[in-house]
Amino acid sequence: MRYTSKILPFVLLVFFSCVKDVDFDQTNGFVLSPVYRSAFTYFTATPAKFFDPSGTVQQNSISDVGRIDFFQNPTVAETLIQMDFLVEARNQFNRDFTITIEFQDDNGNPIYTLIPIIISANELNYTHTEVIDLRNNPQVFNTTQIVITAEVQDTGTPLNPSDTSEFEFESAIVFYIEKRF
Amino acid sequence: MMRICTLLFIIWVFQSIAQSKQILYDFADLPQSSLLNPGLTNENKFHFGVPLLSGISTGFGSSGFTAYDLFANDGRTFNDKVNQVFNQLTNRDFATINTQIELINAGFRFNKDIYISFGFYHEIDAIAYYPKDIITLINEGNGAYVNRVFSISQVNVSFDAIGVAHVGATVQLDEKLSVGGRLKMYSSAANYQTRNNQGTFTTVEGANNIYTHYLNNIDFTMNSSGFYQNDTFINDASQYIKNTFFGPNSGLGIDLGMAYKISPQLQFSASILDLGYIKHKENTQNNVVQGSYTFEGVNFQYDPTNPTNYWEQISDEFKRQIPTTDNQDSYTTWRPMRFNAALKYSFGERRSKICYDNRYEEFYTDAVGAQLFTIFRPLFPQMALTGFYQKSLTDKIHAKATYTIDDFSASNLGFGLSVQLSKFNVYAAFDNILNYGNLAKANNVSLQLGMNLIFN
Repeated sequence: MRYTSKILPFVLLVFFSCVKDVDFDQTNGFVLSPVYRSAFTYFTATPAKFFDPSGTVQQNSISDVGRIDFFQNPTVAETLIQMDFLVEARNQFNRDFTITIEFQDDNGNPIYTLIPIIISANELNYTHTEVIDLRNNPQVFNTTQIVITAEVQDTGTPLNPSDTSEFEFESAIVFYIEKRF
Repeated sequence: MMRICTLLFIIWVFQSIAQSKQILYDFADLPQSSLLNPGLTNENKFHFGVPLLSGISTGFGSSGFTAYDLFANDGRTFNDKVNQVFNQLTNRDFATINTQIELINAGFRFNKDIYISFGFYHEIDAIAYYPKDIITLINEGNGAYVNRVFSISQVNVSFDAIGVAHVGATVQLDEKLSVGGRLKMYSSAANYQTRNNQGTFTTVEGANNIYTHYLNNIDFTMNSSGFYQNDTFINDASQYIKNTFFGPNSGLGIDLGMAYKISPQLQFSASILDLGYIKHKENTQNNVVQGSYTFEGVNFQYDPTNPTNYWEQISDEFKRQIPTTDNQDSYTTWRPMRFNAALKYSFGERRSKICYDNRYEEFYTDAVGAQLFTIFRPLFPQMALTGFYQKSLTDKIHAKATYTIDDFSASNLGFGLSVQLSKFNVYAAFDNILNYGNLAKANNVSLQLGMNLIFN
């Protein structure tokens, strides 16, 4: 018994140890909200691109299609809340360009179309950003392909297919994720 | 899967961490002290531990933050606390667990100079460094980090669940010097490791597009054994338990120790533990990712005569540049080697106690000293420096108080007690007792306790 008084506090300390002033339920309010930047499409067009394979018939509009399975992912549909579409362009042509970007479904039906981007003749430092709020445009998640159409202004004067002027288009998307736990 | 998790949880709860076990080291002639230094002598005739209860210890450590940092009920949002914790983490911070439970522990005196001990214990040892760059990428993304290099080399995790059969001897060479060794046979129930990874991810302003993304020199390897059989996750808990006892993934190791009495009152002792390896050759699953890849975006060609499936082209190119390969090759893991050293000065009242051969040995009632512990972890050694005061309240009741500085804390007070009731010995050691008032504020907690029958 002589040492009981010395040992007892130690024993009590251990058996009455506790975890306090904490709330483990607050994880329910946790929101993960990363922002990712990704390169998207780019191309360089010379006047020759606007002629048919024979090189004799000018076509003022050219289109290309990029299939994209990204939006079909359920996790993407659940967590992606906004996309910023960034565009930079350099236009050495002496006529305007209009770029149309259209989100389409499997059957080629338009789902969402960005505001047409007009790059003036000889504009070498064009930048543009369009914000897509996906909470207000959930149909975007049905997208399976994106079509980018480049239309050169019809001035009445034919393009010279051997002209070396270039139209450079660059783009990126900023993805805003919000995952609630 | 649920049963496996339950099994692992039960093992964790009823075992102990206390990697350094600074309180048990050279304490009260406990048989468990010889597992920390086989060179430490005792005055016992023989002993055996109460099966499953002779050595139980459990603990968890997290450098960099505590549970209170994340879950404090202080009015701040959980997001704010998470972000603060992430910001204060460095790539040297880690979480670790090391637990042991003895199934058998016994020993006997072979002759006056040699004490033989043997036993079997189960151990779980795990460490995971916080990969700060990957955490930042997941939590914040690369949106604000153009030109920042994110490294995957910080991904470093190892987990071991093993059974250890051991036999050792302590030899008194002369009045001053004793040495000891212990041979260990490891049997791995499960192992997972990913280490020595290389590679970076960077987003920069591009030449051909607004951004260019680089995955450079990726070399990422994950090894596991015991979890999968023929690509199927092993869901049978009994399989893990069975493999703990002399399973196919086995290895060998040794402990070495010594103690030298510089004077009747001053002793130096040191030990190296778990100098060994395990060869994993059955139910192994290895995944290797290697290569480099540059992504500039999708280069539209506007070539109606040759339409391109860009998505497929990118996917194929990525798989070609950074292939992922799986194999079932055998691999070797090295046990985390531990090193102990201690300088102990005994003083106080001189008493005598009866020894196994009916002679009486004098001992001092008090001792002070310093202990150094090091465990060699994948990225860098973890060290703990301990000062201690030891007091024999009677020849049957011994107490030890410690103050430890380590990676987790600079204010770690520990306390241990060993009580002998006739042949029955019970001991308990608790670390970080200042935080027992609120364990949420502790970076690490650990305890060891056990029961033995000791005959001397």
